[in-house]
Amino acid sequence: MNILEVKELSIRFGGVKAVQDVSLSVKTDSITSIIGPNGAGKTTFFNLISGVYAPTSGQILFDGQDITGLKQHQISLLGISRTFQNIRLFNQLSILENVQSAMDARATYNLLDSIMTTPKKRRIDRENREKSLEYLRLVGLEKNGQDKPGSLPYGMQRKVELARALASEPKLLLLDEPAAGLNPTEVEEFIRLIHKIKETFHISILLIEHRLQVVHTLSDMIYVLNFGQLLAHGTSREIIENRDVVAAYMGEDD
Amino acid sequence: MSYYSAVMTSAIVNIIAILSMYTLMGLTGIFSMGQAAFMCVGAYATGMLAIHSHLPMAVIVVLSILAGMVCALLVGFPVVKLRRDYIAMITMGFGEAIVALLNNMSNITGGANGINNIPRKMTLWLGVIILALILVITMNFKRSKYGRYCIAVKNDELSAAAMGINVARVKLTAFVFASGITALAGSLLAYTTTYVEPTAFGFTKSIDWISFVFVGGVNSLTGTLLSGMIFCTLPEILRFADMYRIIAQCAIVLLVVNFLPNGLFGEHEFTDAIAAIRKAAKNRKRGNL
Amino acid sequence: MARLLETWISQERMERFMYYFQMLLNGLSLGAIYAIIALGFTLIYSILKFSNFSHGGIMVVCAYFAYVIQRRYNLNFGMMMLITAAFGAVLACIVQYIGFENLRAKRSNIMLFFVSSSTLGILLQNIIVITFSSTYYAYPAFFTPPFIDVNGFTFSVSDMIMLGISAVVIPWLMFFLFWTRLGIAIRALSMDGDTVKLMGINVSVVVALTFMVSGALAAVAGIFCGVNYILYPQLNQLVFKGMIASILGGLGNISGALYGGIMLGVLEVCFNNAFGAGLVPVFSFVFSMIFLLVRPQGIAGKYVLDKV
Repeated sequence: MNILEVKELSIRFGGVKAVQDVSLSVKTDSITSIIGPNGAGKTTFFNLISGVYAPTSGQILFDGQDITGLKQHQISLLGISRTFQNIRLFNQLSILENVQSAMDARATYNLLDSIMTTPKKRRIDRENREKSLEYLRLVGLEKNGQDKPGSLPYGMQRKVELARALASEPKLLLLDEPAAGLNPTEVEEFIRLIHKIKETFHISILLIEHRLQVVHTLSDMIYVLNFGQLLAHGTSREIIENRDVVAAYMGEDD
Repeated sequence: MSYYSAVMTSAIVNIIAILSMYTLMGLTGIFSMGQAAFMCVGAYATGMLAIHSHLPMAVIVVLSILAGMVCALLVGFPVVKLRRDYIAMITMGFGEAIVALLNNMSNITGGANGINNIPRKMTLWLGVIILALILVITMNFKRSKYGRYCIAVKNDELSAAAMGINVARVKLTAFVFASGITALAGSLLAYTTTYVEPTAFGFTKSIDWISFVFVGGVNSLTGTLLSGMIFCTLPEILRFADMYRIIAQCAIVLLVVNFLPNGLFGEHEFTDAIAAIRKAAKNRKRGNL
Repeated sequence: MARLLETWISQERMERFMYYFQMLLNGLSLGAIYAIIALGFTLIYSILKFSNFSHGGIMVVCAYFAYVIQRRYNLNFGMMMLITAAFGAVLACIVQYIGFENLRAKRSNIMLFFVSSSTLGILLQNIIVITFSSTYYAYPAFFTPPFIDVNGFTFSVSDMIMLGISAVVIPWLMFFLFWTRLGIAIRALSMDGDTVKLMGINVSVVVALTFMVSGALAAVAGIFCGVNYILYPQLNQLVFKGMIASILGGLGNISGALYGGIMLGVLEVCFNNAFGAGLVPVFSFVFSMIFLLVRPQGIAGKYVLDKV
C-alpha cells in the first residue's frame, strides 16, 4: 500500500519547467529519498506535495485521497508534515511553543474559551504542552523549552524543526535536507534519531538529501531527479550502479 | 466630572483603542492605517442609538462592538489573502469612505456637526475597570492558541500554513477581534465626550496610535500600555505646543524605529518581571537554607 | 463634422454624447494625475518591495516649494516644474536616507518600513502646516485662457498639459527601465538584491536614483494637484488615490499604474456626476473592494510565483 502516489506531476514558472512529469510512490512505513544535483527541482517537488504551489498538471494521491491543488493548511491537517531547507521556526515563540503550534490547529477550544481561559482551554493547552515536552525530549532538547530559536545553534534548531513536524502526528513526514549544515557527529545522531522515530511512530518518511551516506543508510527506495525530471529510481544498490546517476552527479567519464 | 477625571477618562478610552492596535500590529503584523474608522463606527453607533432609542447603555455598547466587528469582517475579507500592503491601503480607504459617508448623511448622522447631547454615562472607574478587562482579555488571547497563531503568521506565513494554520482566517479573526475592541473604545468615547464628529477619527489619529505602539514596543503588551498611558495624558498637559508636539512625536518614532526597532520595552512583559522576581526569591530562599 | 453627424443623430442624443464624452475627457485628465502619483509610488514598491507612505509628504512639500519659488523669482510654468522636479528628487533622496537606509541595512521587518514612511509623511505635512499655517494658497493663473473650446468640448489647458506630460513620461520611464543600463540595474535590484551586489552594482546608488525619479514624479504630481485644486497642507492625502490606482492597476506594475490611474480617474468623475462629490470616496472604496475580490492582481498584474 502506498501512502503517497504522485502521477506525472509538472509545474512551470514562467518559461521554466521546474518539475516535469515526475511520478513517485512512497510505500507506507518506508523511508524514501529524493536525490539529485542542485537545481534539480527537489524542493519544488516538495512544495508541490505540501501545497505551496498548485501543479500545472499531474495528480497527487495521499492515502488514497486526491490532494492535488489543496491548500497547505488543508494538506497538513490531512496528515502530511514537513521541514524546510532553510529553517523556518517562529522566532518570537519559544521552542516549546513552536512545537506546540503544530498541535494548535487540532486543539478543539474556541475564541471564547481563550479569552475567558475556561478549564477546557487550560486542560487542552496543558496536555499539548506536556506532549510538546515529550517531543522535545525525543530530540534531546527538553531543557531548552523556554529558549527562543534565535539563541540556539543551527543543529539544535534543526532538531526543533523535526520535533515540530512530528508534533502534528503526521502519517507522512517530508524532510527537506535535514542533515544540511550538520557535522559528521551530528549526522550520525540524526540517523539514529530517524531510526528511533520509525520505531516509535507509525510513520512514512520522504526525504531530500545530498549526503549519500545518509541516503544509503536510511533509504528503502531512492528517486533521482535531474533538471526537473525523474532520472532513475530503485534501491540503494541499483542507484549506485546506475551510470546515468553517476554521470549526473560527477560528470561524464571521458 | 471634574476636568482631571474627564481628561483621564478620555485618555483611558484611547488607551483601550491602542491596546487593540497591539493585537493587530504586535501579534499579527497587520498594519492598519485607518483603524480610527472602527472607533468612529463604534462611536456613531452609540451616538445614534443613545439618542434615538431607549436601550440601556450596556446593550448599546455591545451593539456598537458588533457594528465594528461586522465592518471589520466586510473590509478584511477581500484583503487578508493578499500582501500586507493591501490591508494598509484598504483600511486607509475605508477610513476616508466612512468620514465621507458620515459627512454626507446629514439627516441621520448630523453631517459635519456630528451628533451632540449624548448622555454622559462614562465614569473614570468604569473606564479603569473596562481597561483592566481588555488588558486581561488581550493577555488571554495572546496566551492561547490564537495568540500563537497570530505570532506564527506574523513570523512566517509559509511555515504557519505548513503547520495547519489557515493564515487568511487567522488574520481575519485577529482583525475582527481587534476592531471590536477599537469599536468599544469608540462607544466609550461617545459616552465620555458626549458628542461625535467625523474629523476626530481621521488618518492622523490612526498614525498616532501606530506611533505610540511602536515607541512602547510593538511586541510588548506592557510597553504598548505604558507608552499609551504616557502619550495619551501628555497632550492635554502640553496642549499649547500642539504643532510642535507632532514634530517631536515623529522625531521620536523615527529614532526608535531606526535604532530601537523593538521599542522601549523590547519583547519584555510585566509578567516576565514578576516571574523573574519570583525565581530570584526562590533561589535566595534555597541559598539561605 | 458636428453638423454632419447632426443629420444622422438627433439633437438630444448629440448633447448626451457630448456630455458623456466631456465626462470621459475630465476622467482622463484626473486619471493622468492619479497615474503620475501612482507611478512614483509604484516605482518604489517594485524596487524595494514596500509601500512608501511618505510619497504624499514629498508631493505637498514640492507643491509649496514651487509656489514659493514662482512668486519669488517670477518663473514661468516650465521653469518652475523643472526646478521643483530637481528639488523633489533631492528631497526624496534625503527621505530615503533618513527613513530607510538604516532599515534596509538591517533587513528589517516590513512593518518598520511602513511606520517609518508614514511617520515621515506626517512630518513633512506638519512642516508645511507650521511654515504656512492652514490658509489656502493658490498658484497664479499660468494658462490664459485656462480653457479651450473645440467643437463644443471644453478642454482645460492644464489638464491637456498634464496628459501630455504623462504621455511623455511613461514611455520614457519604460524605455529607461528596459533599455538603459541603469534601468536594468534597477529592475535587477527589484528581483534579487544580494546577487545584484555581487554583480558589482552599487545598490545604494541605484536605490538613491530610484528615489530621485520617484521624487521628481511626486513633484510634478504635487504641482498639478496644486494647480487643479488649491494649495493646502492635506494635499498629501491625494497620494492615497494614487495607491488605490496602483492597486487597481496591479501593485508593483509600472504600466498598471497608468491603467489604474486612468480607470480611477474616469470612475471618480462618473461617481461624481451620479452621486455628488461628497460620496466619491465611498464608491471608490466599495469599487476597489469588489475589484480586489474579482481580480486581486489588478488590471496589468500577473500572478508571479515566488521560489520558496
